[in-house]
Amino acid sequence: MAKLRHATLILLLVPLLGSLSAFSGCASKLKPREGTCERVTSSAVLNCDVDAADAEIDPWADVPPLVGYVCQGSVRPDDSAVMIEDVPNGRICTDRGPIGDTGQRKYCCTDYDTPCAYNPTADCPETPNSSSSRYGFECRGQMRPEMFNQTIYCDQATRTDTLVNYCCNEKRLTWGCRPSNGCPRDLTAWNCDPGVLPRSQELTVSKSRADTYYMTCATPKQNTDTDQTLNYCCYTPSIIPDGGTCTQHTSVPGCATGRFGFACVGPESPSEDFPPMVCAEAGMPGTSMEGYPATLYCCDFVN
Amino acid sequence: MLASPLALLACGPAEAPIATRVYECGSDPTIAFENTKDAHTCGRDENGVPDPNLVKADGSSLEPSFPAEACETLVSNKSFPDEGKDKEGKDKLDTRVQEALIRCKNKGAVKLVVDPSNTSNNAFVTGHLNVLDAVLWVDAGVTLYASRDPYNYQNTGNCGVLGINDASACLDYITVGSSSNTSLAPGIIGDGTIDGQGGEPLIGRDYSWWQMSGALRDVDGSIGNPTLINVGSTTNRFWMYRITLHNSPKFHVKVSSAPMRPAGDAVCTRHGDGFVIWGVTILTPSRWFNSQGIPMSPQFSRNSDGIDPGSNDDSFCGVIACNTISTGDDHIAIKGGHSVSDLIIAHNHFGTGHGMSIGSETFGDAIDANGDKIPSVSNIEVYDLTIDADSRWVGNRVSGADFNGIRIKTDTSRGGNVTDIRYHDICMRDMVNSILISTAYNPLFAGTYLPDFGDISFKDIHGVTCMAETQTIVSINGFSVNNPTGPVSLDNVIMDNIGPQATFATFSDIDLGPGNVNFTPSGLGVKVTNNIVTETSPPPRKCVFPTLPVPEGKSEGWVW
Repeated sequence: MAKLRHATLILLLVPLLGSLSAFSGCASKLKPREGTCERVTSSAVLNCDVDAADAEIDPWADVPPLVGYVCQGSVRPDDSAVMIEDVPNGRICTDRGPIGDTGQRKYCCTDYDTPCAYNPTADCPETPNSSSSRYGFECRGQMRPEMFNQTIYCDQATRTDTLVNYCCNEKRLTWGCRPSNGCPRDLTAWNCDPGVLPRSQELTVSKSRADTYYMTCATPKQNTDTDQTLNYCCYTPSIIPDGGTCTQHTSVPGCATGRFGFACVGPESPSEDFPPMVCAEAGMPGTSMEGYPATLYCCDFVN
Repeated sequence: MLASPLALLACGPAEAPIATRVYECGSDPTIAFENTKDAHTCGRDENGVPDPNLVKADGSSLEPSFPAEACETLVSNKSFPDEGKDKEGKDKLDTRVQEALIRCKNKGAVKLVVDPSNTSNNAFVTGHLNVLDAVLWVDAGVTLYASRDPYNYQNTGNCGVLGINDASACLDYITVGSSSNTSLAPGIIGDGTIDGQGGEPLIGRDYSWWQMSGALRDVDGSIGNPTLINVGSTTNRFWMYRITLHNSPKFHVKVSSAPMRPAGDAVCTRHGDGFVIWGVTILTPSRWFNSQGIPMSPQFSRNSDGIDPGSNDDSFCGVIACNTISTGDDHIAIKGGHSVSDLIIAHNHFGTGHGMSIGSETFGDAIDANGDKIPSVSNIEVYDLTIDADSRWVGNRVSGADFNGIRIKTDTSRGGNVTDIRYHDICMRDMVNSILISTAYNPLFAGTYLPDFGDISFKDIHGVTCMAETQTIVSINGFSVNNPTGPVSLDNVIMDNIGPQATFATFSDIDLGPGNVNFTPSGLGVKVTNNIVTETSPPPRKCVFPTLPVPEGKSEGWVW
C-alpha cells in the first residue's frame, strides 16, 4: 500500500477502492499500485517552480505552490482521488520522469485537491517517437488540469456525461503529423510519420471553432522515395449518428490512394454514417483498425 | 491540514444572504430605436445634445443620413422570394442588383424599391453579392432575400453539404470592400430588410442552413454557411444605417476596418473613423415557424452572431450605436483573433442572445514597431445598454445560453491579452448569466494560447428580475495563478436576484466600490479589495426596458 506523507492524501486513502471503481468500468483489471512516495524539499533534487522569471504570482495569491515528490514503485502521489457527490476530488501531478535506474520517479503536484482526479484506467495512446508516457485525468466543470498545475500539458479532451477526460504529460509533444498540401480543395492535407493518423487539433489556432478532433482520412500515399512518411487527405465529419458502427480504415485491401476505407461492425453502409461518402462496391469481410471483425468498404468522397 | 479549495470553487461564503428581489416588469414602447428613428433622438440627451463620444468634427451627431439621391434605382418585380424558378427548380436570381453595384462603383448607392404601380412587388432574390466601393440601399417595404441555393455560394465544394465541418465551405451572401483610393464609404443602408433565409430548406435539399449547423453542435463544429454581411480587410469607413437583418445562415455582420494594426502608430482620433453601425435591427429568427411548419427558436439558429468586429480582420476605431439585436448566438462578439481596439458600443438594446461578448478568439496579440505588446482586444467602452430576457416565455425552444448578459470568453486553444474594457450604465433583466468571464469557454480544447485578461471595469450595472425563477450568475475566472484575471473593478453593481450559490471566481484580482456591490466573489486564488462606501454610494441604476421586435406569426411560447 502506498505510504503517503501528506495528511490530506492519507485521509483520502480510505476510499481508494471506491475511487478506483468510480473511474473504471472494470476495476478488476487494475494492477495494485505499490510503493511509497516521499515529499521532496530540496530543489536540487526536484524543482517544481513554474517559470519563476515569468510568474505573476502576487503576494495575495492564496494558492499553495507546487510540491515535489519522489515515488518508488508504481504508486503516484495523486492516485488516491475520490468522488464527492459526483465531483472528482484529487491532486494533479506531473510525471517528471525516472531518476536514473533507481526505479524512482519524480512528480510535481498541486498541494491541494482539485475537481480533477488521476484516472488509472485512462486510454491515453503513447505519443509517437517519444519516450514520455501519458496519463489521464477526469475533471468536472470548466477547469482544465493546466489551470491548477502549470507544469502539465493536456491534449484535446473528450466528454463523458458530466466528466471531461484528459490525456496529459509533462510537455506538449510533437504528434507526428504536419499540415501539408496537395489534396483536392475540399480536403485537408497532412504529412505524417508512419503509424500516425492526423488529428484536427494539430491545425493550429481555430479561426472559428473548426478545431474539432475527429478526422476521416483517405488511403494515404507513401513517400517511398524520400522519408517513408505518408500523405493523407482528410475531412472533419459531423458526429456519427446514434447506433453508427463505421470507423475509418486507412488500409482496406485494394482501396486505392485517395479513396476512403471504412470498417463497419454493424449492418449499415458508411454512406449512412458519413453522408458525403458514396460506397458503390459491396463490402468484404475483414478486420477493423482496432482489431474487430468487420465489413470493409472502399468509398468515394462526393459532394 | 490544508483545506481543500474545492468548496470555494463550488460556491461562495455560505452565510451571505440572498440579495433582495426587486421586480421590474413591463417595458416602454417609446424608447426602442424602431420608434424613435425618425425623431433622431438616439445618441442624444433629453435636450437633443449629442453624446460627446459620438460626434463629428463639427460637433454634430455621428448618426448617418441617407444619401440625397441614388446612383441607380431598381424596382422589384416579384412579391415572394420563391416566385419564379428555372426548369431545374433553382431560384431565378435578380442579376440586376450585382450589375448595378458594379456600375455604381465609386459613384453612389444602388437603391432597391417597391414597385409603385404594384406594391405587392417588394422582393428581390440574389446569390452572392459584392459591394465594392458602393452602397446598397434597401428601401422601406423591400426585402432582399438570399438565395437558398448553395450552388450560388460554393467556395470549397462543401457548401450545402451535410455532415462536413468546413468553416470555409461557402462564400458570404454580401461581401463588402473598399479600394484604398476611393472617397466613397461602402455601406448597407435603408429601412428595408435583408433576409438570409437560414431556417428555410435549401433548394434541392430537405434541410436548412441552420439544420446543417445543428448537425455539428455535438462536436462543436463550425459550419461554413454564408455570412450575411462580411466586411473585408482594409475596408475604409464602412457604415450601416437603419437596415433590418433577419435569419442569417451564420454570422450576421463581420466587420473589419482600416487603419490596420499592428502599424504601431495607428491612433483613433475620432470614433467612427473606422466604421459606424447605427440603428440596425437584427431579429433572428424572424418567424415562429418556417414555411414547413418547423418551429424556429434562438437555439435553432445556431452560430447566428449579430455583429462581430474582428472576425475577418483587424477592427479599429468603430462605433456600434442605437441597434436592436435578438438572435441565437452572441449579440455582439468582439473577435480577438485579430487586433480589435478603440470601439464604442452605446445606446443599444438586446433581447435573446448569448451576450455582449468578447471572444472566444483572443489570440490576436501583436508586437508593434517599438517592440511593445498590442493586446488582441483593448480600449472597448460599452454603455447605455439594455439586455432583456423577458422574451423567454413567449417563444419556441431555447437554452439558458440564450439569456446571457456580459461575457468575456476564451480558452487555451485561442487565448490572449484582453485589457482596458469598460462597461457602464447597463441594465439587464432575467439573465441566466449576468457577468461571465471565462478562461475555459470550452475546456475540451487544448493549446498553448493562454488567456490573459487585464483591466476590466463594471460601473453602474443593475440586473433586475421580472419572471426569472433561478438566481442570476456572476462568474469571474482567471486561467491560473500565473495568468490571473484583473484587476476587475465592480462599482455600483447590483444584481437583484443573486446569492452566494450563484457567484463564482478563481484566480482573479477584484476591487469592490466605492459604489455598492451586493455580492462578493470568492474562490481559489481570488483577492478581493473592498473599498465600498455605503453612505455615499449612488442608488442602483434605474432600468427601463424597451419593447423589442418579436418574430412574426402565431406564437406558442418559447419553452426553456
